[in-house]
Amino acid sequence: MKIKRISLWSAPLTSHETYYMASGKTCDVTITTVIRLDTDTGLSGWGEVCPIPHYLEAYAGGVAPAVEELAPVLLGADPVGPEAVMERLHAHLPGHRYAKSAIDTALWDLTGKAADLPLYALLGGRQVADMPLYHSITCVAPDEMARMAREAQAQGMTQFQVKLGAEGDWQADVARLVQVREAVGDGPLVYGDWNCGSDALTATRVGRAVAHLDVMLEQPCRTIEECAHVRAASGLAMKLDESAHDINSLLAGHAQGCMDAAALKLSKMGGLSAMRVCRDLCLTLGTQMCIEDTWGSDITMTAGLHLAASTPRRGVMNTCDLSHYVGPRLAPDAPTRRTGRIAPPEGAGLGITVDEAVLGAPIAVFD
Amino acid sequence: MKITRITLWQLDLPLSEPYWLSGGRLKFERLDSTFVRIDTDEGVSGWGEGCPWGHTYLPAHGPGIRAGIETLAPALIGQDPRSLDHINRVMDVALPGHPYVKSPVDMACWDILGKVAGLPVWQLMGGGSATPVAVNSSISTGTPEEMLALIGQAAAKGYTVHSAKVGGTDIALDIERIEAISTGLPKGHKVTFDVNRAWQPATAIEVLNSVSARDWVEQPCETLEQCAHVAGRVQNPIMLDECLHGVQDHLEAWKRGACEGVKVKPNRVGGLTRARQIRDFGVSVGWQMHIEDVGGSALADTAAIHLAASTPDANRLASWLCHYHLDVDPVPGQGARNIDGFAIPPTAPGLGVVPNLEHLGDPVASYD
Repeated sequence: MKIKRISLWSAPLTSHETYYMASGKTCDVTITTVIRLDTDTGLSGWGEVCPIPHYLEAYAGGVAPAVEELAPVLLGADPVGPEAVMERLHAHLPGHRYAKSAIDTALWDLTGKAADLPLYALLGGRQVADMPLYHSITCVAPDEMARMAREAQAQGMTQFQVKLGAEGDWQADVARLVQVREAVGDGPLVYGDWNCGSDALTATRVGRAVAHLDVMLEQPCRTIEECAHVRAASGLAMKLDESAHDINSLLAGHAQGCMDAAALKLSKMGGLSAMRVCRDLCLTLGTQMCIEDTWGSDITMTAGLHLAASTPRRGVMNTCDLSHYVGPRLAPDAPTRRTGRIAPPEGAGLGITVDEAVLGAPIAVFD
Repeated sequence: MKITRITLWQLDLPLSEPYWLSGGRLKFERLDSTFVRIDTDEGVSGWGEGCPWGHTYLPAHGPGIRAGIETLAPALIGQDPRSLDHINRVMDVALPGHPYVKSPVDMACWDILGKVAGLPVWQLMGGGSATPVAVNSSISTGTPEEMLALIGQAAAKGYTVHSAKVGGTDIALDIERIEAISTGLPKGHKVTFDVNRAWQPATAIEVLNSVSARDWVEQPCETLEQCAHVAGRVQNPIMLDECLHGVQDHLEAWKRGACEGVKVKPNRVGGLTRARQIRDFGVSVGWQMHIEDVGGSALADTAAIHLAASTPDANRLASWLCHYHLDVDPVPGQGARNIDGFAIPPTAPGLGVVPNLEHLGDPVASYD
């Protein structure tokens, strides 16, 4: 099988509820880039990447130039066995993991279709029937966030990510954690996420003020060292996200003792090929995983679901149904949440049908 | 003063000789350079250049610079270009990472600051005089005889400091190259053996503990962790390059005792502002540094030479000049040039290099 054409589409995704994070980051409308790899056998594979502006080292405008740079390596390549293709792509253009993650998803989709197997079967075999979802609560007034938590809980959600730091008022952040914890009662997982937006002192003050509660903290500061400091000073469990992006940073987070949990995101790690290796390391380290992508719709969400479903229960903390948060749906037959849980589809490859009518005309075609 | 317009030109810069990176990476024959001009409401303009060394060397490619500046432009228009740290913060918020995109913008802002202050950039960077900077050659990998012949040719042009590329798949050949070059070097010359990440840690230890040469070895392995491991087990001084991106990486390298020197390349670290911060850290911990850019015409070279010339002699080794390896000269005769193995930064205000629009062709983009 040979790749004979690469097509790219760009589509705006609108959040159903505008989402606020620390330091003024939002994802009201984001641009997702969809890729399709066509082969000489008639099989096609789909991928997607949707960077959140100002969030990670990734931006929508950087995807198409990187894919164009990589096109000569992809065209004519056999997509079956994505790691081999990805290795050649890394040699051709180092870095730019986010752009490569969309390509990697499409390679896996093709490999699954060629093998007539769902991706979870190729990524380690089905380990769990379904996975718990977390509900991410935008950083607004504490009582409003508590209301959102109760609403989501009524739909079956059992894990709540409380965004912190939007206005830099540490006492408001304490109120957010206290009120959401109280609203959902004992049992559910509650964690407060600064998305790197805090300094160590402020995060420590917040952490110590809620140290009597069952809450976890997520990525308060930019560096692993600062997060480790907050972990030690507050005594609260910690999840790393932005600063854990590859094998070396996962090892560093573990060595510093501040990685009770970690977020594995396809565009941050560079696709399923790279993230599968990170998943296996986290299993060894005992790190609880959130397996997902930064943002996006059905295509990249489904890729994450396949990896999550092929991960042993002891390592799966949760996953995210991204396409629940944004519109339009790119693949209307993709999975949706049921009582706070979600499972990957059973069809070959990603197992979803992309609605090309939603995408419009391609922004670029390489053949 | 406010930025009113950002204009981009794309230039193909053909190399006089095709270039092979170690580790079987692609050879390339031309560089993709982006020239940036920043105009202000007070009529002062500044120039910058961003030119990755092909697309296989660092996480950087020419089209990515242009796409990135398109994303940055709305945040930059209206900002005061003389406030360099502020400009960098604005860029970092608008687009995390992507240092290679930011470097030409930062460079153009230093040019403006220098012109407004009536001072050359070397003086703004803390320099006491337009110190001549030793220029180092770049010797492509080959047989020991071929490499010594290239060093002889470079010596005839006045070079006294050489960067010899090693790191093939044959350990015995690397040992042979290093020994032959170290002993066959013209008297008084210095060499750095640049591995460009090609060795596994065990290969590095095997090779370096088999040679009697005690010259500098640069970037033996891929990651900082691997290089630190090697640095603790060999006798050669280690210089790091590609594995260092942000300031934080340099702190980590120092903490781990991973090197005795670093390459400071504005385009790799995000511009002259960051490069200066790293240079200052290097001076304070006693590092010896090569200060040069990743690639480009005499415009990018000159920007790096301003920083190099303002660095204390004890902490400065030599600087490579990319423009010397090009078949074209889009800034004819201007800037820091190699004269008998040394380059001197201009003393005109700013960078002291003003591209002639006739040599650039039509702009590829303009934002205002």
